[in-house]
Amino acid sequence: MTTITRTEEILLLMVCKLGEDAFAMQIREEVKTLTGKLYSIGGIYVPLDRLTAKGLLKMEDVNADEERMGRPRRRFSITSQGMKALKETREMEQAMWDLSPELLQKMGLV
Amino acid sequence: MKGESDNSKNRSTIPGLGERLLTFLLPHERQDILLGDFIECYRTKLNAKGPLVAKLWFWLQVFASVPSFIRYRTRFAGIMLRSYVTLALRSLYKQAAYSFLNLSGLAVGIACFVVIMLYVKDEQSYDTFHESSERTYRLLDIRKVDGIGEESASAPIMLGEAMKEDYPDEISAGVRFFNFQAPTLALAHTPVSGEVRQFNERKLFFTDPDFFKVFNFRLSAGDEETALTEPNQVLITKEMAGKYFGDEDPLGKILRFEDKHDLVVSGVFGDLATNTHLDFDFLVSFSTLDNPEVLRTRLRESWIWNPAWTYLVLNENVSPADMEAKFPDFVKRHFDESRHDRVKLYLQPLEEIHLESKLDYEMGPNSDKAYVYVFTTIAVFILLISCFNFINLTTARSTRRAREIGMRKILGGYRTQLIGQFLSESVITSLVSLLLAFPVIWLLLRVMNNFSGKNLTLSWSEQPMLLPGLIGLTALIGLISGIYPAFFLSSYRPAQAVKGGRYVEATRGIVFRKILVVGQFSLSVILIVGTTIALKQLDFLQKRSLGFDQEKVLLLPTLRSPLMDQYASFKGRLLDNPDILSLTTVEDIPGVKHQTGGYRPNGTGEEQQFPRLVVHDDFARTMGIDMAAGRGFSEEFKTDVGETAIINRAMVDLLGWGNPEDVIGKRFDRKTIVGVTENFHFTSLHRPVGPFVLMRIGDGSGAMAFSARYIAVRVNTEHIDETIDFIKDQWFSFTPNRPFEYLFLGDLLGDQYEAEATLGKVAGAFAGLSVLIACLGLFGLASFTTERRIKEIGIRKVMGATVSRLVVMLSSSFVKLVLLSIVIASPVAYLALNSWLSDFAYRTSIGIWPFITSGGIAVLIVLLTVSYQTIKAASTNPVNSLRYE
Repeated sequence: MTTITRTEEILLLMVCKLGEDAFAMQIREEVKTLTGKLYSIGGIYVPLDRLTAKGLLKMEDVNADEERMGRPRRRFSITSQGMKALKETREMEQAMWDLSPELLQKMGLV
Repeated sequence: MKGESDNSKNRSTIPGLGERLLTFLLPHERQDILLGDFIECYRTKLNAKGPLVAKLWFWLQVFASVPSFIRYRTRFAGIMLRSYVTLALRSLYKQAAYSFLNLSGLAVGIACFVVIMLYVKDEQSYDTFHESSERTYRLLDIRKVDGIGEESASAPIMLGEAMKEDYPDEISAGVRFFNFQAPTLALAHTPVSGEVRQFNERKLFFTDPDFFKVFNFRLSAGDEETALTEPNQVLITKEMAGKYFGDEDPLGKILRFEDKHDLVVSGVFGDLATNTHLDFDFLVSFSTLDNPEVLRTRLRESWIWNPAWTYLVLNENVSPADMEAKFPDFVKRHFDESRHDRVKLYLQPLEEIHLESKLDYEMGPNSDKAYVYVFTTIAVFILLISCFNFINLTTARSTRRAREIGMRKILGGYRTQLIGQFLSESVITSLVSLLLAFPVIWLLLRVMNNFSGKNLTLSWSEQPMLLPGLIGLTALIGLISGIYPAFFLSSYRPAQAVKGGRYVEATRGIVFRKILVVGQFSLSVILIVGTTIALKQLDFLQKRSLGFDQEKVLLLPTLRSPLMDQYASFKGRLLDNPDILSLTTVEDIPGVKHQTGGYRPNGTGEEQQFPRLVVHDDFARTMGIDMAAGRGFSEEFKTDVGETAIINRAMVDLLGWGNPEDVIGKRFDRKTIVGVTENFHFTSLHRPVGPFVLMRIGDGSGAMAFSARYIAVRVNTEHIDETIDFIKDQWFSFTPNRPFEYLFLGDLLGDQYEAEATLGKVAGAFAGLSVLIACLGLFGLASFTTERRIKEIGIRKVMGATVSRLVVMLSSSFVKLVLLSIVIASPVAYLALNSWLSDFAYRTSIGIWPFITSGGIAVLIVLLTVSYQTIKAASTNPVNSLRYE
């Protein structure tokens, strides 16, 4: 199984969530609202590039629009391999949290 | 795809400076996307918060993004670099023949440059390795009146002692070297068992204990503190220890000096540096000379005789000019009053001796600064030729790659990437040729060592800057040769480049290459002409009639030999042999060295210094010198000793005495002139013939032992081996304990032009190499040009052109270039050689022939080089070249 980091998990989820709108800047905004961590404009590409290199994301440059002075945007979308990784991570997490109600109560989590 | 038109319409965008900065920082692959992102976010901020906040925010973002930019940059740079290296190696491999020409030309050029520069560096490093070498000076004793006299590198024995005594605050150490001014001194070792080993030694000096303080020569055995302090101590080199003692421990062994005095070996030198003008095999403690039996007290304490090379180390705060200012007083204190005006003392910096000193009585032959310049010029020329070559071949080859460039551009290659590709390709190629240069350097060093007698090595530890310097230089050559294809070819329009296959090259590219070819051949022609003239001058010096016949004269070193007490009977015995024509004794080697004496030409007035030789009877006959008037010294005239003199024609002219015949019987320095010789070259041809005096040697044993340094024998050269054996037998029958040695005067005279001979040989070798390199380039260029014109040739053949006409047509463009080079190079070569030759008193004429012959050679070589390609191209079947049209 592909182990991915929490950051990667978040980014993959955000890409899924944004769907057609999964451009770098939008991902950056979503990450900020969800976790409070603000990437720099250039910096957001670093983990995204890594995920692309691992084959969990793919990217395409979509046509320029007026708002960006005619410069293209880079849209990320999840690959099947990325989906598989997310699924496995989710299953693992669920298995991890599959604790007895007594224990959860003892931990003060319920 | 860049929206530059939008840019000008809509001003509400990121600051212009920021955009430029980002464009600069970001790799191409990222530029558009990220610039878009910045603009998008900036606009959002601008609408929400206003321009000030937006700008501030923008710059903060740029700043915050820098680390990620660096990441992109390095990652892409790494990828591109790897791709550049792959491409460079592929293109080298693909055009193996071209690559070989290109690489080997540059490799040979670099190797020549390195080897010559090693030689030059070695020349410049002479005597710089002593601890206080920059404060060490040689004391010169110059005795001249009106430009005539002697400029001696050596000084009276007493001078060194008196200096140290008079100026203890200024002088920290002083060393003298003394060898009786003898060409050789005899040493012998009698082992406990076995035969006596005796040899005539040329490099034996008496020296002071300060030797180890002044010079950085170290003993490998023995104590430097005490090795030279006692009388009769001798230090020897490793080689000499082997020669006399074999494998035995030399320390404490006895060497018998001149068959009279025993010297004890007190130390052995380790490996000695060779970049020094001090060349010695034996050093004997100076106090040995205090024994009057070794050196008579009168000579030891003479202030007139100046046989001792004297070196002084000044204290750090003393300048040589201050010191020299004190010398006139010193001269007044110590020298005889009659000499006060004549004697001038100077300090000569130790480090300058090897390259600049040209005095009388040097310890050994020195080099010349001019040769260092000549060699440096040759090195730079060769490097330039090979660079031109490399640039030419690289550019020529790259024009064949127009289609590749077009394709790369169509596939989205940026111009900067193409520039990077070509630059890195040529830099990588040049670095590969640096690798190839190392075996060539190794080979050339051996050749160079052979020519020059040096022991040069390529040592990274001794020259730590050499490798980085070489890599830097080579990379620079690569960069320069890459500039043209990088910037010119990358500007091709892709459509045209792909369509045309071979893009029609702009004329400036062709002109540029022609200029380089002309430059290359101009430099080569200069080197060829220079070599021709240098060899011509050398030949001139060696063949010039010296005014005497050196080929039939043998010299036997006899200074201080007991044989001289029996000279008359030895002479009689030798003359019994019909192959021995005549013999005499000489004070120094005629044509090489002479002594000087003070004479009053008119018998009164100021004493003047004149070059002279003290000789025995039959000198003129033995040497084959023609008499202009009168006779030579002869045993028939008992009055010759001490009462007569012979002068040369130049002396007659100097004194304004008119006809040589009228001079006979006149008085010269209160002696009767019995003969006038024709002018003969009593010293090397570097100097013009001046006035000269011959005096008859005294018959007393003192004069004979001291002033008869050689017996000169005129022999019939037909039975030379038998004659030498005969002389040897006679020698040992008179003095069985003296080593026998003989020298040919002709060889000794030839040795004087060793510097010129080395120059000629080395310059010749490198001129040859430079032509070879230039031809390599031309060969590549010719094949490239003919290949480009293959269709033209095909059409011409179809139209009826003959092979020979085509060859002439193709070759003529190259020949024109070479002719132009000759025209350019000739005046330059003429001027340079004229100034070189002007240093010689006797010089060959330059004339027109060297230019014609070297030009002819250059044209011939060029024709041979290009003919292979042109004939090949011209004889191609037009069907093959036109098939695909």
